[in-house]
Amino acid sequence: MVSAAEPHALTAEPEVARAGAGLGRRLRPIYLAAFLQNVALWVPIEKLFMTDIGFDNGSVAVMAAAYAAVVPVLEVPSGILADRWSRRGVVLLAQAALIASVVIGGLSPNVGTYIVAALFLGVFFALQSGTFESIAYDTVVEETGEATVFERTIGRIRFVESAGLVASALAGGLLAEAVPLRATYFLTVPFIVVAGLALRRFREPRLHRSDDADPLRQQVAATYRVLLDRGAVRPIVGLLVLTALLLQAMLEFGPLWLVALAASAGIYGPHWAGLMAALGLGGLLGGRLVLSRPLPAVVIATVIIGCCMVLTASHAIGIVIAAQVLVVLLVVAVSIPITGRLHDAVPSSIRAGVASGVGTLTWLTFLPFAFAFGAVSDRSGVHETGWILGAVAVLTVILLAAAVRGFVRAPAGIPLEPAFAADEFRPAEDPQWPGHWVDPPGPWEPVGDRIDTDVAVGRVRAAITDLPSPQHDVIVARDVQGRPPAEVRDELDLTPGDERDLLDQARGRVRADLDDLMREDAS
Amino acid sequence: MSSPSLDPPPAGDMACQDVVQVITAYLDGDLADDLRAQVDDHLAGCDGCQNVLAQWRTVIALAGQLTEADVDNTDEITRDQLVSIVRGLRRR
Repeated sequence: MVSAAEPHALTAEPEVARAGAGLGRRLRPIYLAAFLQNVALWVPIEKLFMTDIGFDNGSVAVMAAAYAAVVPVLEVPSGILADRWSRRGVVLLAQAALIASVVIGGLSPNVGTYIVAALFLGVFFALQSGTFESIAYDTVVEETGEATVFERTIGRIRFVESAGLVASALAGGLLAEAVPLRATYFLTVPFIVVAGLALRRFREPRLHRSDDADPLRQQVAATYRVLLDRGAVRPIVGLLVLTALLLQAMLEFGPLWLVALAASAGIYGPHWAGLMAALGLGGLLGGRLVLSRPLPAVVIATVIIGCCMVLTASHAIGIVIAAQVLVVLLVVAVSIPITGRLHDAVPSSIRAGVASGVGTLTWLTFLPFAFAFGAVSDRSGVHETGWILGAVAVLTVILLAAAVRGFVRAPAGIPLEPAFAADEFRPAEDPQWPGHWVDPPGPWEPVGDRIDTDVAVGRVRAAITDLPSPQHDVIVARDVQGRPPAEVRDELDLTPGDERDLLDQARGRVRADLDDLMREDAS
Repeated sequence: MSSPSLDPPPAGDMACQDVVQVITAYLDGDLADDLRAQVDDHLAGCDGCQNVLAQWRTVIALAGQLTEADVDNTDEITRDQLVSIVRGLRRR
């Protein structure tokens, strides 16, 4: 995998802290917009409202399929538009489509007009999918010089999105008891408007802009080549599609279990809030999930498949809700590191296009899935559809098992500076001492004499903690845990050369920090 | 040998720049015998590279005093958010 992140200079701790603070400040409008555009007061009562205007399980599936059909048409073009024009501009257009969807939905007297609203919702999904994460990735790289905090950043965005959904799920349920169901749609509009205003205050990253941008045809070809060619990206795309399918199925069809179990209207709000909270918690968990470690991967796979089986068998509302919440939480958590690897693998100039392309493939897969789900649900009841979910979960697990060993970020992704800069050595054309020290490193005072051992260990700890993931993982395994090289290479799926390079880079960074400490003390 | 001197380095002497690139392999015992012998020859006459080797060993020794938990790079803010959310859920 080749990273889009540029190699970056060694960064001293205060600079890292400043970069982190700058990133947080810069992303504030994004967090606010993500929260507000996900305030959807109509969502918890949508199925009730739809039933009121004439929907049944079959027509719910038709509606889902209708917006799933419009999305693929717009996904990649909108992503390419975002790459060539403005990602912020595309999200603003998405918000306009969302407003249209909500207004038409609220005014709908029947199934037909509501499907029109669903089509606008599809436009919203198409325009915004992949765009937020591309904005996040490039902003992270611009502010910090590397991509290591992307997973945490996108995790936080997922968290605030879910906070918006949870808040509105609870508020929407309460609101629906006081006002007509339709009003929940109209009361959502001001939140989307304010989200747009917040987004206008965001300073868009410029990494994807280029003075000599490729012609449109080349850009489109490059985008599709990355998506469809055999290679390292294909299993990542496959995993993202499958996880998105599971997630979409839970969010779209999850409430049908409550309908089948004749749950009271008061259960729908907390149920939806639980699913939305799981989105956020999954985002936070995903920011720290290491899929290359067998234990978490096995536990997650087992729980996801187990929950799908629970959905086929259980008629206890609480257990069904818990199973759905767990599936959503774990699927989101798994998708975060996978998303990170996707963005590592593509250059910024086609980032939004590729991310949107993954969305397209998801929707194209969701289309027959929704029909199958609706047909099985109508014929045999919603519980039987749990087997379909289980099959998707098993496919996901198989692909994850095949690809999981590659989930250590590629060494080429974020190389650190070499331990010693080239200008510390005499040039090759030096007549007598080519490649020898200009100013040889002096000896360090023995640790424990003038330098307190605890202080030195503390500096080493800080330096290792701040390392990006591959270098961090290797030095922790080798020097902290003292494990043999062959074992570390095997676990992290590294070649001997990669393992040595990463360890050299990590030790070099730690040595540089210790050298600073020695010099501080000497002065 | 590492300092500018009137005398040129001995014939066949490795450059310091090449030596520091193989220090980890040297410490792991992964170098071929002839390359290891060249590094040893170089180190015998180069204070700068000897110091770097000693510093590398210091890094390894100090890192060995840590535990995996000491260097867990989980973002503290994220961890705190997660803990507070879980606590909040329990209260409900």
